Amino acid sequence: MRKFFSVVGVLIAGFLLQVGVAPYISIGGVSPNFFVIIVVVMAMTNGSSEGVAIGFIAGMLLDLIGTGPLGPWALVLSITGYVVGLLGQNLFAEGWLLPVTVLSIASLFSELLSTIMVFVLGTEAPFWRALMSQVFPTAVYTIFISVLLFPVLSKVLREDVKIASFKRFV
Amino acid sequence: MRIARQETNNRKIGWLLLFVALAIVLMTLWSRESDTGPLHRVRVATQTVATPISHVGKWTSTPVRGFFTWISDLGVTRGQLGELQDQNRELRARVVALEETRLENVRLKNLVNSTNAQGYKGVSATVIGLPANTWDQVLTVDKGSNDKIAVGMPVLGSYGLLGQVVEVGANFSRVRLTTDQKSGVASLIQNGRKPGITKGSVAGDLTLEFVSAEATVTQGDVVVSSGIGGIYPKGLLIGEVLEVSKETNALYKTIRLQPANDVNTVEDVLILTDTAPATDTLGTTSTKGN
Repeated sequence: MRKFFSVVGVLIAGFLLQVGVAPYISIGGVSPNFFVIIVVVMAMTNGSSEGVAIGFIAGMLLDLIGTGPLGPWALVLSITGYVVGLLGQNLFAEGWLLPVTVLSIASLFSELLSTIMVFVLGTEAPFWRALMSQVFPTAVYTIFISVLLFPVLSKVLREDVKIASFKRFV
Repeated sequence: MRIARQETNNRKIGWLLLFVALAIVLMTLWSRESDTGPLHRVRVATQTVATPISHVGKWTSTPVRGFFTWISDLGVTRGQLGELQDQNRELRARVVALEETRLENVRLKNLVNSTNAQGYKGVSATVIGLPANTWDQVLTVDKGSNDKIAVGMPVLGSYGLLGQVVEVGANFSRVRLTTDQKSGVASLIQNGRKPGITKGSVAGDLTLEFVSAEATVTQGDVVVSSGIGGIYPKGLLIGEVLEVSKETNALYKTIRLQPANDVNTVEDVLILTDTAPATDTLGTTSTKGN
């Protein structure tokens, strides 16, 4: 039950961050994607079954605050949650480098897959331009934010592993 | 033991397939239902919850954003400053001349009883939310259906056309900017009256498309709405020509525009409430944004 409430709490926090913070820390029109960070960290800590469900709900929320059709982000984050969850729950025990690497790859993968979805659903725009102007900058910004948030998330979600500082990173 | 592990893996894949199927069903339902369907209503409800959060975020971040704007403004060089001062002097002179023309215009209009030709009726609104993700160039404003705002209404910023209302809640509306990839405005280059379509892009740029390769277009030319299609009234400032290029054997020029409004500095907008409802080429009325 406690786990359920922590998951709901983190999803609500993600919603608040995406709606109330992300637009106002955008750089050149590029905002970070807090939901990707949340899905990846929760899938890493809870496994693929929970990862796919959390990914679906987070994706739904992301679709609901956008203007496009409902479903693309739900699909993308479900797959992301599943794949990251499969990598296992032991990543936290390896310190910083491995989880942050997984987060970076997952962020790039999510943004890329969502772009493909947008194009499949009929957006008329140069694909490479979208990659360079939206996908990579958003992924890089998300990775940067994830490094900042990682100690907080790891503490909330995995109490048995203490990651107090960046010293373990090096 | 191996069989048990296999079952666990099958169950995991089952969960994935279930949620992927759910997402695909959602996409299909969304594309098939009308603007008043249950999924669309869920989105409006979510936006209703999100609007005050976004408002608080904007209010909280204003001093920080102001500080960063001030920092970035410190980077203006002496040369740029001199250039801006020259431009300022030139613009002041032009304002005086334009004011004279405007007064003359008002008098002439009075003579022909057409003073309302450009007197759009509108509702002023305050921007309370910026785009929540990288893909959508959409602002949230604080007026909605309670103020008789409807989907499809054009929206003006301080310097010209800003976009169109695409979603309406009781106390908020969402405005798709002209720079959004899904936007398109029938346009006209003021100097030369060459028609084209102004479109947004994934990068938030504004381009004028379908302008004949033979047309003479120069940097600084003003682009306004042409009124064709009946969605946007004629003569609204969209932007200025920033760059003109043409590829060999291309039928049309590639024209990049500087939008009239800077989305990051827009605070108040005017929603035009008395324009004709959107009609397509078949003449049927639509409430959808274009």
